[in-house]
Amino acid sequence: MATAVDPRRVAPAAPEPEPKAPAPAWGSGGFLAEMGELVSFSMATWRALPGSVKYLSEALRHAARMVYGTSPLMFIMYVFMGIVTMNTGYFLLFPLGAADYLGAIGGFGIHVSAVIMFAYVFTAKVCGGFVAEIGAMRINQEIDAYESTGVDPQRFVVGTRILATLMYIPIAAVVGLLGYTAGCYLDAIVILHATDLAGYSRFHWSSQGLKDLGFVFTTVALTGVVTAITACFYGMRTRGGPAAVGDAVAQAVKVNLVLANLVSAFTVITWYAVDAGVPIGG
Amino acid sequence: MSAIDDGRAVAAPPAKKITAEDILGKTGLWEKLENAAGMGGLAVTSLRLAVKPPISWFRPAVMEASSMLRRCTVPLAVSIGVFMIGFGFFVLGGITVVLGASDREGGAVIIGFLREASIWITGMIFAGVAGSAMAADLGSRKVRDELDALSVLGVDQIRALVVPKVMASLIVAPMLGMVAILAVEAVNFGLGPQEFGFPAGVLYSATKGSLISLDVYGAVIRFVIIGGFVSVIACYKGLTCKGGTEGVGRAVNQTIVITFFGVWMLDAFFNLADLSLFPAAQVDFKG
Repeated sequence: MATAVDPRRVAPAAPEPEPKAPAPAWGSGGFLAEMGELVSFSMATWRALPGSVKYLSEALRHAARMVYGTSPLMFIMYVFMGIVTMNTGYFLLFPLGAADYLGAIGGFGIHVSAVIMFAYVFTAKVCGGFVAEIGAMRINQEIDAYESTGVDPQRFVVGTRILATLMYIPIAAVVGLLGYTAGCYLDAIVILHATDLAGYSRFHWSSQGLKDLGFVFTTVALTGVVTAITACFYGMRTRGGPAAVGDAVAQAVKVNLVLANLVSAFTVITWYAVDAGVPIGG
Repeated sequence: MSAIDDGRAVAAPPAKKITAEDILGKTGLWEKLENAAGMGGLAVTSLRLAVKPPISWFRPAVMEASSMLRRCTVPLAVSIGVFMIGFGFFVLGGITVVLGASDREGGAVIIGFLREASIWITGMIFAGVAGSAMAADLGSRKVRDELDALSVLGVDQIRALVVPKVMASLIVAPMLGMVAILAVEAVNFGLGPQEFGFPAGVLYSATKGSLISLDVYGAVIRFVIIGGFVSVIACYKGLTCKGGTEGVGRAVNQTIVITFFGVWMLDAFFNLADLSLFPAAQVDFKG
């Protein structure tokens, strides 16, 4: 005789109470929780990145789109940056009677311009596009379709975009520096007639070195990867109807702008806090 | 084999007029021109409706302004604060230290940030936070057909939705600019004396000696222009976004690209013209 109770006849246990959503930690919507999700998402992205090398063609497609679509805008915005730098420098130096040294400001200005302008253009043009695309894919359940067919979206959707960003970074840095130099030249020599080309070039090229170029490439790489991962995070996180995509883009741009400033300040401090790198004086 | 040919002369079809749209429509230039014209038209319409007698924008504009301020202040203060630490201390301050003139760091900071850096950082945070929120709000109403419902009810979309946003932006952008300057000076006075090793009085006198009213007026004018520009672009892109899931995202993205471009164009050329036309604003980089 089976004394044990037939498990099938036991009354079903009372359903577990629904776990309550944790209260927002800070600010509306739980800002800290959101940042924590972002960090764990970026770790998952790095873990999945080696696997996305096998989708190299997709990554190349994204990179090609960036090169064709973003490089002209990048160039023009860096021209503006050069003009702005030269304006500041000229109207500071001219009253001191030192307008001949304008080239030094131009060469030294890559510390600022390369840091920040790439992040702005990349955030606006590329990362906004990432969020819009991935968010629309999420709403249309294309991401779920990838999962159900055995394709890891972390590799195919996110990882390929990060790979494309890594490919685009050197091109963007070169395009940006060319545009910046063109803008400086345009403003200092053609518009303001501050110095002649020989005097300008001498100070412009003597006030930047290999260390500064290393700084430019490092910063561009860091800001590009951080903002791209953040954009993919907000795209994958989109929930709701079609209107949610717009909100996701807005939120991603807001977070990215702050992150770009934070990262660039961090790199400036790590590279130039001890030695400002000015080739004059002691 | 026309069965209805009854021998009457068939009138030649009227020659088709070639319009500008036929020529430009294929190149994509037509769309850009159309967008630009629409934005200009929206700006004129909203300003006209703002001063036309039944003035109903005041209360919604106050609500919009308070929500913009709440959204923008913290990102703006954090962004410009860390930019001040990285750029102001270690680049601008580094130059003055090497030149042996670190006591003039306050003057360099107030001139550089009031003329250039605060303009672009405020403009971009305003465009990225408030402008994108405006475009997302109007765009989501558009794709949910709420705007058509409002039209059916007899509510003027521009008067009810666009005018309060534009008026609020015209007020909020200069306020945010002043918040940005305040954050810069707070960081400078909080960390500067320790970093460069001089008392706060030196910093105060250098800042005061270089702060001239023309710069402040120029900055406020630029902030007002940026506010109006960003709000009009965002409202236009939101009102005209195409349907579909990706439409709102695309509209917000285009808003951000156009407004960033405009902010930088303004920052580059306004200052050039301003300082060349008013040489009195050029001086006073003294300790």
